Amino acid sequence: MSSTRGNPAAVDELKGEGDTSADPPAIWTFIVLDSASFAVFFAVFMAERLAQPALFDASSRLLDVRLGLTNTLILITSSWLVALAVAAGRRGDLRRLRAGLLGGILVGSAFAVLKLIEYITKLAGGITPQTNDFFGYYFCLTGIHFVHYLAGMIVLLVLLARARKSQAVDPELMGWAVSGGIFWHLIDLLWVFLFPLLYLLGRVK
Amino acid sequence: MPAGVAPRRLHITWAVLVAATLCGLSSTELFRQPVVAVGAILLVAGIKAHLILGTFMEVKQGPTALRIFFASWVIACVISIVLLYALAPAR
Repeated sequence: MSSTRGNPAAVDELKGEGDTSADPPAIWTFIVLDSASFAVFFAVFMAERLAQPALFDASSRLLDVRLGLTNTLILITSSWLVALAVAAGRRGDLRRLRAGLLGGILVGSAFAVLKLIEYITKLAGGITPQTNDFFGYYFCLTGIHFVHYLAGMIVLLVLLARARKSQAVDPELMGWAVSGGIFWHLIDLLWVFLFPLLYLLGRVK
Repeated sequence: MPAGVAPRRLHITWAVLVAATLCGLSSTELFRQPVVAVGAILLVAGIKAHLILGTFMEVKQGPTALRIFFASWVIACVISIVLLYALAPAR
């Protein structure tokens, strides 16, 4: 088996032919598959609700809607700051690119704090994934989403470290910033459906 | 790589997303019919998803296939959730 380690020419061959700067970032393949999976998760949750709507609604009302709402606003704001960072990078403004990424990370980190408070409160109150089907789905869906969130935070931190080392906005840094930004927005996008599904449907009278 | 989105447009999108989030929350008590309320909540969620995809993720400037996929994805999510809510027996 041949190896590409220490062989830049072989790695370049794997990148494909021609100018790829106008192509959409490769991360879209992951985003498409991941969002399609979540569409199935949403449908499975709703299909499961068909058999026990009263239990699902009563369980949903045990969640703190204020925490869910605050986390929605946190993700929207963090996404906006990262989008501003990418826009600044496109203008070649390295200072604002760094500031936007740092702002996105700082605001975004509040999501983890609130989510952990919510998990700890529920577990301390005796509510676990085994409590009923609703909470099984609640911990599963928000858990998968939280793994995405953690990966997104790592991506943003790596991006910020790269941006701090750079002297100017080069195409490679921009490529990473665009892809990292798209992944971070995915976390916001998925939460846009998770919030009403888990926190709001049970409150409809 | 797309040309990008102007900062002013990003500010407006953020403001609309915040307003829509608060609007979606108030929809839980605004309508008499539960299905109508859920329809309104999911419609707001669909609009928010469309804005995040189009403006923050720049899908609007992406290839046609990507635009079609995500437009279908948003519609499929909204319709499937509302439909399955409507099919559930009365509480």
